[in-house]
Amino acid sequence: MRVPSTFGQYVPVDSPVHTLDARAKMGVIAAFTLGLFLADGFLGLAVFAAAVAVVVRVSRVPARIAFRGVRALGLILVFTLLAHALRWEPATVMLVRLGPIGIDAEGLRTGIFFAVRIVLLMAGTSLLTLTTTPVQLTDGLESVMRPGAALGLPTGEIAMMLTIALRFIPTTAQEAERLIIAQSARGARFDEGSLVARVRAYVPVLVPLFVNLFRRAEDLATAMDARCYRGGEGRTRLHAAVMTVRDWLVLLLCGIGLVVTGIVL
Amino acid sequence: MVVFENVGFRYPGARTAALEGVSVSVRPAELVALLGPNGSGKSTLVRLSNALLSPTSGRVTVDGMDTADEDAVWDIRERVGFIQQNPENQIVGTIAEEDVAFGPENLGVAPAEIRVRVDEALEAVGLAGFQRREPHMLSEGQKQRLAIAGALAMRPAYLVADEPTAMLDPVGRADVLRALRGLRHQGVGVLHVTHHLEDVLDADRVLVLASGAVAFDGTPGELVGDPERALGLGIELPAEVLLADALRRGGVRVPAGHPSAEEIAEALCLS
Repeated sequence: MRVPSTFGQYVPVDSPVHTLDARAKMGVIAAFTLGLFLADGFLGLAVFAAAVAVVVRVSRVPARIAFRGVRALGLILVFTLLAHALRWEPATVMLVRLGPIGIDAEGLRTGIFFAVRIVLLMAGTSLLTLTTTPVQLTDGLESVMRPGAALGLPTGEIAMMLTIALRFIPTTAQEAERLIIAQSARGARFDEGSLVARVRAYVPVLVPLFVNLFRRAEDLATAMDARCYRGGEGRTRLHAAVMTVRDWLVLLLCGIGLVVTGIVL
Repeated sequence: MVVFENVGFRYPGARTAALEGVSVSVRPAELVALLGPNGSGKSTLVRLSNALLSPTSGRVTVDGMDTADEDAVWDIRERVGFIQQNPENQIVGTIAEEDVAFGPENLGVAPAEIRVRVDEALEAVGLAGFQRREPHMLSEGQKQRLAIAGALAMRPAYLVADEPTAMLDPVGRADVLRALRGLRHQGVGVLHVTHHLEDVLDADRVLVLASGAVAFDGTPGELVGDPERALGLGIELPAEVLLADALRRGGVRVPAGHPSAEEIAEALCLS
């Protein structure tokens, strides 16, 4: 069966970006986002675009996959573009004019600027999830949240919950697809009638889906019990995440570089 | 050794006992098959063996540790690996190696040692090189072998498998059976719950449960050699065994036990 590919799903290849510590990557992404919003000219965007292109290249993630998320943004991009470019009369400089509505050059420029910024933001941040396994991500989050553990926050448990949620997304998606096919085979229609009718059509899918999820939860709890899971305390990790000199260097240099680029350009 | 001494178990609120007066044992490096119809108490017995359940009467011990002793629960679960029928629902990790590492991580094993155990366990079940594979990219048979690897990485002395092949296709089933066979050579005692006698014809012993009690405790050969008794216990014999039995009664001299299709054909040609 076709596996529904989630946006930003981990691409299992070996690359210098993949081996980077998740926390370092999160830090760089934060700096990237900050820099991107500080940049106020196309030159700045071009530098960030070049940075994204280089990282995509180094990460060995196929460009097609790296930019797949952009397609999902289509509507937002069109909206952004139009919201800035369309002008009512009596605007001064008009490129195109159709009755009272026209496209303004200055507005078009701004629209493109914001649209490109959104595309870069999307491509840049999705590189994090494309090159980091969900477990590394949650481990990274856990470690970033660690100060919270002192305040009684169950960070280990939160990370485990996130991991399991991520683990079962493809499984649940496959199951939903199977149920939709099964109900379609019995004559259920998911694509016609009023909105209410369409929502109602999904009830016979959702009920067994949730019943199965509860059953899964029970099985999984048994499996975790049998494999001695007893909370975060005393657990070790296969990949004990250690920030190496390389991780720190990448974090500091890229972080500073990106923010400064944003400020200057 | 996993020892059941006169064990009884009743689920809370149930009118009848799920198990009663059960005395069985599994030794290291021994393959014990557990058969019986649905509702005969197989899964209950399995869950009693690794302290997921505690007996309501009698005693279950694992290498001398009582499963009713709450302080021993984690040591017992470390010694008794457990895999379930549904391969999907027991995988915790988002990629294969992270799942296999889950058990050792819970035991607090050092990272370098976990690495060694993970690679060894994957190798032992024929999944070497699948370290980074995501579970949903594996076949059901591969998922089940991944689950076995997850149990193996805890270095158990015993493995309890509750109908591990019930949801698999023939190829997946053969692979899982081979992986389970391999454990015996590593000294792991296996309790294999199944509905198919042909899955466990090479078992050291076969136990048959009926209505919560042990109805048969012997070798697979004894069941194969006595089709009527097997039938009485509700056990379906492999087609070759039934054919050989019918031929023997018709006067054809078929080798005793569980002859292969070739041996039967040869006997037919010679008669």
